[in-house]
Amino acid sequence: MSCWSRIRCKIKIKNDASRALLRKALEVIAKKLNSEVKENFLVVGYSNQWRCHFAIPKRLAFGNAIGVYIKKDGSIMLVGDFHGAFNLVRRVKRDLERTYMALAIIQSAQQLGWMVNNVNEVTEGIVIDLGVRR
Amino acid sequence: MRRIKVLIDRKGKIIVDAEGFVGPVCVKEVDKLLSSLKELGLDLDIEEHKLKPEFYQRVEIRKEVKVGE
Repeated sequence: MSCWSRIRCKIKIKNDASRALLRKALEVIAKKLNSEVKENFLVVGYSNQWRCHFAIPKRLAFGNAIGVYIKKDGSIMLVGDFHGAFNLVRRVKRDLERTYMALAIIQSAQQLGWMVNNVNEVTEGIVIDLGVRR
Repeated sequence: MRRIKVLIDRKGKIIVDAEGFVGPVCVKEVDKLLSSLKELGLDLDIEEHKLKPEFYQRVEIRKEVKVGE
């Protein structure tokens, strides 16, 4: 028994900058899972396999990793055999989207010449304090 | 110092709070941030827009001109 899944995320990869940001966000998630980010990785499940742009190797009941596949339109999906690991994958999806957002906000603020005063993870979520000069 | 505080809540919703701005400058600055985020693949829909009293304050610009110069 297995459950091969493709879960769509809210992030859309538009260019090299957003792809680099995705990798950075994945590195944060991978660290929390005591793993690392692999590129061009073959995600294998009980009865299926899929080559993914990125993956976080993780021993799952029937799978070897949580894969990240970037579709042609830039949308991204978490791919893998997630049987018995749906709670973990749901958490990874939520964390990935939020981490990506936080990194995107920090990067955008720096590009606008703003100061990043503080980044804090609190019970309500992630708080980013930006200073706007001018 | 003018500040913009951003909260990314547990559901992935973004709440932006601008402090220390007078007039519509805060809206312009937040718009800049949103368009920059769009470039990075985050197309955010504004769900609610609450303007603070400071938004309606006038920015006073003084210019002194000496007569006869």
